[in-house]
Amino acid sequence: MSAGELQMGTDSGSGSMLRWYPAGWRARYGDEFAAMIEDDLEGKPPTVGFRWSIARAGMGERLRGAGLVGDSVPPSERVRGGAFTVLCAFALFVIPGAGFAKISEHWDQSISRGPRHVPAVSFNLLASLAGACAVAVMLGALAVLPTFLRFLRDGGWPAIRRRVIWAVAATLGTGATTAALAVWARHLTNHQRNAGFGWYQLLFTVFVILFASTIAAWSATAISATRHLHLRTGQLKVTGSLAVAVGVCMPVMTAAAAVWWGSMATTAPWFLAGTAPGSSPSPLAANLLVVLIVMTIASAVGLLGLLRVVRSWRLLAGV
Amino acid sequence: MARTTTKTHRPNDPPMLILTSLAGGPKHGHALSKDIEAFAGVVLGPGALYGAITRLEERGLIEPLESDDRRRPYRISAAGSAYLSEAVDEMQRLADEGARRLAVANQVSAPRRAPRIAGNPA
Repeated sequence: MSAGELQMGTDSGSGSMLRWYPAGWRARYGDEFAAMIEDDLEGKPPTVGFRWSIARAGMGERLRGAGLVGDSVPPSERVRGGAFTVLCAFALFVIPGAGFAKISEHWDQSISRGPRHVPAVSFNLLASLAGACAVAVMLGALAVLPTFLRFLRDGGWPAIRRRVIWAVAATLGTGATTAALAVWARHLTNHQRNAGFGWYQLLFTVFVILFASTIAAWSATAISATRHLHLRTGQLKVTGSLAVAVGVCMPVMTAAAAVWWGSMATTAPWFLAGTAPGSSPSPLAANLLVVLIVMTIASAVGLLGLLRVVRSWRLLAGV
Repeated sequence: MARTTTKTHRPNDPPMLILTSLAGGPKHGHALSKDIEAFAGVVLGPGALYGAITRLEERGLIEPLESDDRRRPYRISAAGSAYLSEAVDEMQRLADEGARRLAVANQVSAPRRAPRIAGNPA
């Protein structure tokens, strides 16, 4: 049984095991690795533990190949891997960020001017940093744009065509859903928009899924395209610096969102629950909790990428 | 917390086990796995074994040999021999130091234990 046969699944037990490994690794080690699997199994079906050990090792090879872990790749690949990690984390962060923007819509109208100070500061800090992060991502894209255009001119388009088509399709779907929501929302009250209006909530859920898909598709496209590029040290330094900035901003934004929640829970809990002003509902909003959990996860992933960039920075400087 | 500042070698690390096995002659993956299990009692699955082989080959510590079979053998390189030799020396120094300190500790504690042992008919 060759590596190719293992991948194609001629044997129901071992068919997909090599797929965990990156293509380059399979091309170099696939045949002998398949032979070792055969020898180890001695004709018996693989156990779950055996499959898991190979899956884990294969994912480890993928992470190493992408420069995300280990020191077997050059510093430039490690900086690039760290910056990719931060970009992915920010893409994930954008989804709860959009949810937070929706939840906090018109918050300042539900609270009198006096106790507005703390939520206003935290909200404005979050909004400013979100804008700064978006600018940082665009600057990073601009920094690699000349190299990307050269890649396209040299015939690189087929390598990313499928991903771009998916990303454009997801973007169009999100745009159409956004337009439909905007038109519909004009005929609804704040309460109907934020709670309990079934079909509107359903369309909003579709929008969230499409929005998340769009973010994921463009992030995957950006990473796929950038992996084909040979970036100069200067470009890596720019993208690495911007990644560090974004990686620092995400935990601060998460903290700002938590402070905003806390201050709103104290001064205007009715806004969080969507009840009448002056009432005293529970400030424990499930949607805000989910938003903060995802923000925290994204921030943690971003910090991992940030550390990867920072640790490789000194080595990159010596390139 | 104290932090080590020097490179340390752990005898049960897959790369160390593979280098030790290959020091006895070239072997392919399955033969390596069986040999390591025999001399160290450590079972390395294909994933762990080939992860270590990949790293060792990248660092030039082992070399693949030509083979007509899919079971490609590997041998330890000159750099790998030097690396293993250094690691063995370091582990030997650690083992010697541990043995020396244990001997001193046993000498210190032996007189205290002696009366109790002497008084115990068992």
